Amino acid sequence: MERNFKSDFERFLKESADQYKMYPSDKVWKGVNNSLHNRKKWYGLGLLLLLLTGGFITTLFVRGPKTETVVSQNSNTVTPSVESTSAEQKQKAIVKNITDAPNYKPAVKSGNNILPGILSSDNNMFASEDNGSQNIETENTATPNESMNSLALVNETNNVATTENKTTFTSSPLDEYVPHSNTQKDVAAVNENKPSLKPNSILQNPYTIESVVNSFSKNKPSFTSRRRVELQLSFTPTISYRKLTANKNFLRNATAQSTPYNYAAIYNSVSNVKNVVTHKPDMGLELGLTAKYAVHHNIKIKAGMQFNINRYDIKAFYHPYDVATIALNSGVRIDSLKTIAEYRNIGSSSQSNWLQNYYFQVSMPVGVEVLFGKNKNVRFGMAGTIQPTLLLSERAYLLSTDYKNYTEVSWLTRRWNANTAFETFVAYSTGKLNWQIGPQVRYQLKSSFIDKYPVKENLFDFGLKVGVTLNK
Amino acid sequence: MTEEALLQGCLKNDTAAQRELYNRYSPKMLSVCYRFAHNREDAEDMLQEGFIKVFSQIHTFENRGAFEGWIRRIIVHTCINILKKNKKFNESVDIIHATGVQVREDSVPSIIQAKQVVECIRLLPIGYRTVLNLYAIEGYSHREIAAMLDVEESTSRSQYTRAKAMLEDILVRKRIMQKPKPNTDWLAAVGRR
Repeated sequence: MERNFKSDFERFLKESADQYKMYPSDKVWKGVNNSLHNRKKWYGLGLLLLLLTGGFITTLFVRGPKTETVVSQNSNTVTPSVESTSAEQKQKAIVKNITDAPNYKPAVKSGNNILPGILSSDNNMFASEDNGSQNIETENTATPNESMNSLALVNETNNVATTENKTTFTSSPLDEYVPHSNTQKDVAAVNENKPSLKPNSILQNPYTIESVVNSFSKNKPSFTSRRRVELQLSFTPTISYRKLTANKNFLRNATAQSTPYNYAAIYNSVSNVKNVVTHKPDMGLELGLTAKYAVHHNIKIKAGMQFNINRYDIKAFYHPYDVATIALNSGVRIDSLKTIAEYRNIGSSSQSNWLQNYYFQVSMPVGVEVLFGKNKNVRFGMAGTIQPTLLLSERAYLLSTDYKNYTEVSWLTRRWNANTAFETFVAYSTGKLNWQIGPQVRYQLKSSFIDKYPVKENLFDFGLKVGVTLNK
Repeated sequence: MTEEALLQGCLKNDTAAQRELYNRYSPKMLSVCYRFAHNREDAEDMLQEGFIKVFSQIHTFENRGAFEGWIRRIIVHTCINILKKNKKFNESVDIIHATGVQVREDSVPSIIQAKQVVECIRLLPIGYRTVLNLYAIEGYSHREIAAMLDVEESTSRSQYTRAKAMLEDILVRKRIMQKPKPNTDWLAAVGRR
């Protein structure tokens, strides 16, 4: 290349060109530096994204069940129940229970007073009888606590204390229901001024905290167990490798084309690819955050996000300035791509080098985990997942069709893919933490390269997965 | 810092060594890219991609020949790959009968001769310019150029002949050189002898 210039004109041109210098802007170096040292940034960004997604998924699952108190029509006690129906439906159920009671009387407003009685979901105040007013007050929409407070206000000011707030009567645990401290006194005071309450099964046991608590402990309410969601952080060092096979669609299309291509050579070259390549596995890594939802004592559904690094090495020989030809199946015909290659598949040992192909992926594994054994501290388990995968970054040296050269053509790499994983593990609890450790195998379902490329590459890796969960 | 120390630092992915190497060779390499590119922005993009390749493949440098020459080859290959990827090159290298270049008298400012020559080279169509750069300045043979550009060797030769004639015309019209006579002494034509 550094030949003697035969022409003075050429020498003149070269000297003039070599004398000329230009100084690049700062953004060029920034681009070079960022490209060389951006892996750490990718990892940091990926970890942040992983944590945010895991937190979001956990927030969706960890919404506690709603508990509620209903008044039984045949009992003086309170039977708590846990329901997931809407507040409105609960209100209707409660009202129905009360209105079906034998001694039900609607609320009565006497003058400016509202006679105390049973509180319903819509906070109509009930009283047994009133000799005076026939008005029915139905507009009081105070919450149970507020209604009790309104009793106090009634007693003190003798005025109706209403609120304009709509009844929320939403679920609240029993221990949150705390009536006003002067409730019983207020009830007694009001009762003194008004006709006494007609005894009935409901009114004999006013809605006091003691009756509620006592009935709770006696009746042993049948809660459905609150489903727990676990969040597991996992780390898996892996050994990554690949499987090379011929792209059969490419072969079928190649043999069907009537173009001046050497089909026999293409067929033979593609189908024997794994025999002419020297490659070896390399270390990889998987980092994941998984949310597990227990649908059964021994079965959990899991979903999360993970990052994978797959690597393997290819033996190549440095030989620049070669033109590499890659035959591509465009569906209609066989096209060819020519590019400058700097490495050969075959060469002298003095020029040998190991090229490293790597793939940096993000996946969303979804699957099932099954546990065996009854020992709470040590259990055996298995899990399987399907993982939609997005390729974030890669460096892949591709082989030319004649097997002679390696070259980089990034647009031949597939961006979206899918993986499957299977693992077995031993789960061990240390009190605060639950540990899982065991082998895992992961296999890429679709080729790393698009269908145009004549060779299929399926990545797979083996690793030892270590997971930790905070035991609440 | 010596070249050996720079190499060792770059092999260790040391940012300071990489920066020093970049500062040392980027001015000349940018002028190489500028001769291939349409404009300065494209030239800087080529330079950036070229140096990324230099640093990522620096472990393959085998101390055979000058380090600057090794960098220059990578930069030139990067420029060619970018031109081919952007398909700007293919559109012009097949233009066998390129029209004459209209040279404005004020298109090249009054500057030293080196820059004048470079600017005149950039006035050529992209196909002519590429072949002329590769043959006359970078020293590739027509066979190597044909393989790089995916053309026939005869095409490379004919493109270079036309490029050379067109450049002569531009240099004369810009009064950088006198119109050469047959078998002329070029150095005398440009006033160097």
